[in-house]
Amino acid sequence: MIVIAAVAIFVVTRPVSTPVFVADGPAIEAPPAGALTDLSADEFESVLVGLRGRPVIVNVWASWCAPCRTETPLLERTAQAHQSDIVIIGVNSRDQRAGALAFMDEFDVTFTNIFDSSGEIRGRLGVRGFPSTYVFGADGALRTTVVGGLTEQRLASIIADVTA
Amino acid sequence: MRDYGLLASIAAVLAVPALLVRPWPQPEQGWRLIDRVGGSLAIGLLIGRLAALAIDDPGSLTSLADLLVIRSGVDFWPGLAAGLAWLAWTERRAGQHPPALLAMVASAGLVGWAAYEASCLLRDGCPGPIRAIGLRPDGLVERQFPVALVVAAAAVLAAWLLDRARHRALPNIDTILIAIGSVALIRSIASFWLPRVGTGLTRQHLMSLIVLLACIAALTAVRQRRTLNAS
Repeated sequence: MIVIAAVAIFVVTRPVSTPVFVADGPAIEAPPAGALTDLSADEFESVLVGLRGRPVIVNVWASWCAPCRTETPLLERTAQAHQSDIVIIGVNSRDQRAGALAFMDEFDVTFTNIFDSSGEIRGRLGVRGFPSTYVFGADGALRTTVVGGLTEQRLASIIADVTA
Repeated sequence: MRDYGLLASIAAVLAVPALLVRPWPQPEQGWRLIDRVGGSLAIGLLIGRLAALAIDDPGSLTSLADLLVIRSGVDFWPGLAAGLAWLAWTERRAGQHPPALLAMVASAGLVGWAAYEASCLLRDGCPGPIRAIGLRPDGLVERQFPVALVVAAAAVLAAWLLDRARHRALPNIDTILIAIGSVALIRSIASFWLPRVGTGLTRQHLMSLIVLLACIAALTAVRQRRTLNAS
């Protein structure tokens, strides 16, 4: 009972992380799906601005990251299942372009991917680990951030929330 | 900030049943049991991880780094089967009767699983279908019905009922099959409510249904054979 009480107190009193990233700038079109497009951090923000009106899931990944290998097929399945109601964008960072392309090829990735060659996007999002997933509501506001691998349940519950 | 939710969950799996064990085993017997259960948990995680990799990403099977990241997914049923097999093997190697040990730890195992499910509070906020009554995981707007907490409550209830049945001389094999079948039944039912991507049964759901049917078939066969032997 002491353990259960301690857990309950921790859950009730722990601070809730507050998202801070807000995309800004002129709206531009998202890069083509299935490709790995090199964009600056400003251009990345403009893509997000251009996608306002639909929830967007941004997944920061790297080809060397083990949980990314598990997560990518799930994201691909999600992109296929939710083509009409959400947008998924992968951001490849701290990686080699050739390795990233091989990774995308291995998992038959068809959603939009951005190559963060300078690490600027990673810095602006405040990435703390790989993979990291940023969920933006249809209004463009950052709703939640998941650091580490996503489970299907977690991803599905986030999608249910942003599309409700 | 590091997320220690998974580590806390694994600690809960061991700590909660240990706290509830009555009477406390003698020190020598207790250490032996802790050693075997700890080993069983480690083997279960390893085999469950290997199974997940073999099914989802066979290309990573040769990568030790990928293998060790259990956060990336551990297949429940292969892990449980391996853990139980390890426990049985070590018991047999010690010249003991494996079903007796497995039956003895069945209720505690159910409580351990309940502790893992309940510790979803520390991991991902217990996702579930959107309902008026429920929890609101960090960053989400809608309340979600915490399916895992209901699973935990059902597992504790199953453990209590099994413990009572054991005190009424339920045979060891029946105890083991009912315990595994309870887990399969609870997971099968819960899977209907758990959020998933797309439609259709998930692999975990399908596996739980198969295990449930296998347990029912095995229990029926065991009881029929016992009846035949008695007559």
